[in-house]
Amino acid sequence: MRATRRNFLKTLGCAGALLSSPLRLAAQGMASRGVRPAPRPKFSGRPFPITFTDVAPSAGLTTPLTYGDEHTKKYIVEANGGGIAFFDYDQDGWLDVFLLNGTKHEGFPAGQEPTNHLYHNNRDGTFTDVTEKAGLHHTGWGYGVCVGDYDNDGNDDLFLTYYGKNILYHNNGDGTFTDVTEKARLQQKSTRYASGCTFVDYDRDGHLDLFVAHYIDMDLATTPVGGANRYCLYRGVSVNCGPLGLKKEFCSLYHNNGDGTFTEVTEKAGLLKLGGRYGLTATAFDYNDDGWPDLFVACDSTPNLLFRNNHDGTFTECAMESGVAVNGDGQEQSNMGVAVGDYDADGYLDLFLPHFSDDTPILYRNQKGEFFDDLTYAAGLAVNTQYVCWGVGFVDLDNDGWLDIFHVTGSVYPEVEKVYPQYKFKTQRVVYRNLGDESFEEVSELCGPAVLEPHSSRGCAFGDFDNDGNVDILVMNQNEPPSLLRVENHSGNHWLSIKLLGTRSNRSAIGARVAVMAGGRRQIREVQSGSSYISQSDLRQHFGLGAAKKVDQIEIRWPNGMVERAGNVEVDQFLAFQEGRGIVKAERFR
Amino acid sequence: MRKRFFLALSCFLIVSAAAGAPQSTQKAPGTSLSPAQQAEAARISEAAKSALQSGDYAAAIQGFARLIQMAPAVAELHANLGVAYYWAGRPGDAVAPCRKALELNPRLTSARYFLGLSLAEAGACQEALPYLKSDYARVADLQLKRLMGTDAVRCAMTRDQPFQAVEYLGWLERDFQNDPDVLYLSTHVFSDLSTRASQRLLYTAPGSYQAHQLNAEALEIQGRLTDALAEYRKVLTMAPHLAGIHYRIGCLLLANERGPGALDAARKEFEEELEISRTDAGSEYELGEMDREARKWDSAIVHFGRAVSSEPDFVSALIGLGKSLVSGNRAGEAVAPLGKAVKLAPGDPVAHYQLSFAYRRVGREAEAQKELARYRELHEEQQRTSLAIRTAILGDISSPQTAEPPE
Repeated sequence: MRATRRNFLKTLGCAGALLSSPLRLAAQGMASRGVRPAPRPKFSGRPFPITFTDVAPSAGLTTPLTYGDEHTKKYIVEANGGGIAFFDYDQDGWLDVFLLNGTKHEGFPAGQEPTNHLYHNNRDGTFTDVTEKAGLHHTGWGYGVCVGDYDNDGNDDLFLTYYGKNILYHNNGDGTFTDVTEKARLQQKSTRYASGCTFVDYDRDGHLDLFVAHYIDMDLATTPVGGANRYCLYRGVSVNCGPLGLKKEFCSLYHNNGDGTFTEVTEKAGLLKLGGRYGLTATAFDYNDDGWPDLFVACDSTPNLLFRNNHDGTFTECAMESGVAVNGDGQEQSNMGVAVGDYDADGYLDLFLPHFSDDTPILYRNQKGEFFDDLTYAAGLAVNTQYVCWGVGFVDLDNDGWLDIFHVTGSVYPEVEKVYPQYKFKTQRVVYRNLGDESFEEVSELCGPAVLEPHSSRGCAFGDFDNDGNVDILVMNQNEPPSLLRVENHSGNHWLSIKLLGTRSNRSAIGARVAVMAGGRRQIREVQSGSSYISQSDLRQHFGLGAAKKVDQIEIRWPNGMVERAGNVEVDQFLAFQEGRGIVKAERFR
Repeated sequence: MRKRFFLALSCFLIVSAAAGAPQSTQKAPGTSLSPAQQAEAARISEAAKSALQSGDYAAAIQGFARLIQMAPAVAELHANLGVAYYWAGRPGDAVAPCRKALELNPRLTSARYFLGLSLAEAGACQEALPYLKSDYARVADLQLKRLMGTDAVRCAMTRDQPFQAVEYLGWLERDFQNDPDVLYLSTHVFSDLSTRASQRLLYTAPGSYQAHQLNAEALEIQGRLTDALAEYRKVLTMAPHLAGIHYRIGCLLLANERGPGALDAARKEFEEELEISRTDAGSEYELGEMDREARKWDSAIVHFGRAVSSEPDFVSALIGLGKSLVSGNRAGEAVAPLGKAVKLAPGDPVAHYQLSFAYRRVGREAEAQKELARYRELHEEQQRTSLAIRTAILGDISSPQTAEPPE
């Protein structure tokens, strides 16, 4: 190390300094670099004409989601749940809401156990709880949710991950669901701690396969509790243990046999060659634009995973070589959620992962599908290090044609706030506006109280639940009801929403890539099952179009490789685009 | 360590004394030892040796004192008594017998060693230093050498001879790299020297810019960054062309200020530093980092390039240059600076990580894999070291749930 003046001054200060920094960062259960936030660039001065209103109470989403105790988390399983979903289960064109729920170790009196919830969208800003009618009542440590029509019957099905046993619910198309886990041969022999999931047609045979991440190989009966060892302390306070110090886990890949059953092919696909990870959000996207979906897993305190599809049923893990395993300095971070989107509109899907406190998020810019660059600081995204961050998305909030970033936050240690009041358990949401020049600026303060209100949130899902042309946000809050942030956009910008219907490709069109040319610009989206933090967003693809009054061209690359186009499309409407037939429906709800 | 050494030396001395006793029991003129007395002397000698070995110093002292009464002209006996006193923590009492031993046998080097140590530890540093200084180079036993060195450092500090203290410290650091005692001593010596010098500065020139500069540095270390900034600015009012101050202010602005103007203000400071000191590599480096973070690759490359021109061994600047070249689509040019960074800092995982990317960009896949493998090794080593430090400081309250899972 060069003896710069700065380095020299760091060494003055004797033995106390020697001891303080390892103590400060010592003995905690997750990776954090202990970095300070970067100074904020000058604010652009541009208005951000978006307001967020939490309409969950008036919408009827009032049931608290239970994850352990509010004031102390004995085990990590209480701290990290769970996911949330927007999906149109009854195919009426209006997004419904699915909430995963957790539980408490002490249990509940009979009849009072918390359950998952399905809410039907009444189309008037309200929702009705149809859980019982739908057959989705279930209690357990619910974690992640992903949606996909695995049997191509035209109805999107649900897969739920658990600390426990995962469940595949078949959507019967009549408002009810059936647990077909065993029938589909997805039953597990033992309890596992599953986290993120994604439906993905990795072999392009027209049937959705299933990829599941796992977090920790953990048995609650033998897991140590707070303060038991160095991994159960945060800044000297006894907290739940892990993930560091606990056994890592592996991902699982299940091939859809096309007959309603799955076969586990994890080893055959080459996914076990690398060691275990603390896997959280799993997602699939075509990072190298070769037409085949690849798999990405955001991993907590361990390097992320990127499995490149070899086109032959196998994958090659290449996160380190591609630059997405760790940050630009080679350091692991606590990756929980992941946003996938083309923020710089260069035709390649980028990644954004926010992290634990005392660390910056990371923006991986996709360099033409060859590798990724850590451009966090360059993009102005290193300005916050005070939050523990979870659900996240690239979303065009103001419909200007540039993908903004929204993420939720919330600590995992309610105990720490009692000792260190500056480490709050509940913290605000964060919004970064895309400036259109490959950089962002934070605009949270401009977004109103619904964004600034503190919660300890985890999953979040993005979708236009009221079909007004603005993407809204559904947020899971631990031990509180969810938030439903209705977005009102006063910019006057135009938009387009496209639902894809596969015919030869999987019916949900998961893995399809949509490109829209409007106003001289080309934007891409990819249909994804599972992302954000172990959550599911609207399968419709939303495009902000700015001032463009028409769409010059829509291009769809279907998962099976076929390309279709449509031109000269009107803006501000919802389209349904069917494989082989083009636009089959166009409607405006307002 | 000290104990084992002294036991060993004591045994040596005692053996010599016992071996020499029959021949060199020089009694006072007119006296001689009868066979019974010789047997008694041998018994006392065994007992004294045993007492020293077992840590019963009072008995050892008593034994050797008795032997000296019986054979006062045996130098080794006086030396043994000195060793026993020293080991008993009575360096003041050890001086006289060690001196006597040398008077009887000026070539008894071990008595000389212990005389130096005893004088030093009894506070007679002025007299001790010549012994310690000359004997340090001669003594073969490493433990003794270390003690002599540390005593010499302490005596020099006591005598207000800082340059001598640093010289002796240099010997110790040369001969005992990574010794915790030596490192601890170094820390305190340099800290003490720093404190003394700063106090002299404050007394002799309290209003000087140097005093303000020192104050600013102290405030910076204490984390009082706003106060440190104010002091540095005061320095500039008194010495506007003093090198290094604009640089420090720039760094503080980057570290402390969150506002939107901080970046511009910091940049201005680094630029002003370069007006004063055209080859200041630190300022060029900071400007390079600011430009790299702003995606201004070409400008970053220029700044980093200047930094390494001024200081060719500036590893961070070489890495910054490499990163900027890669990001600026000039990966072919990045290999050289990153390769140099790896040579200069082979234990830095970041350098290997970045070099692997540069190799990959230019299609040198085998070399890329090699660097990536080295990065992984170093990274894991870093984590193990970090974990060891944490464990050492915080202890292990109980075992973790399982052993570290294998990869």
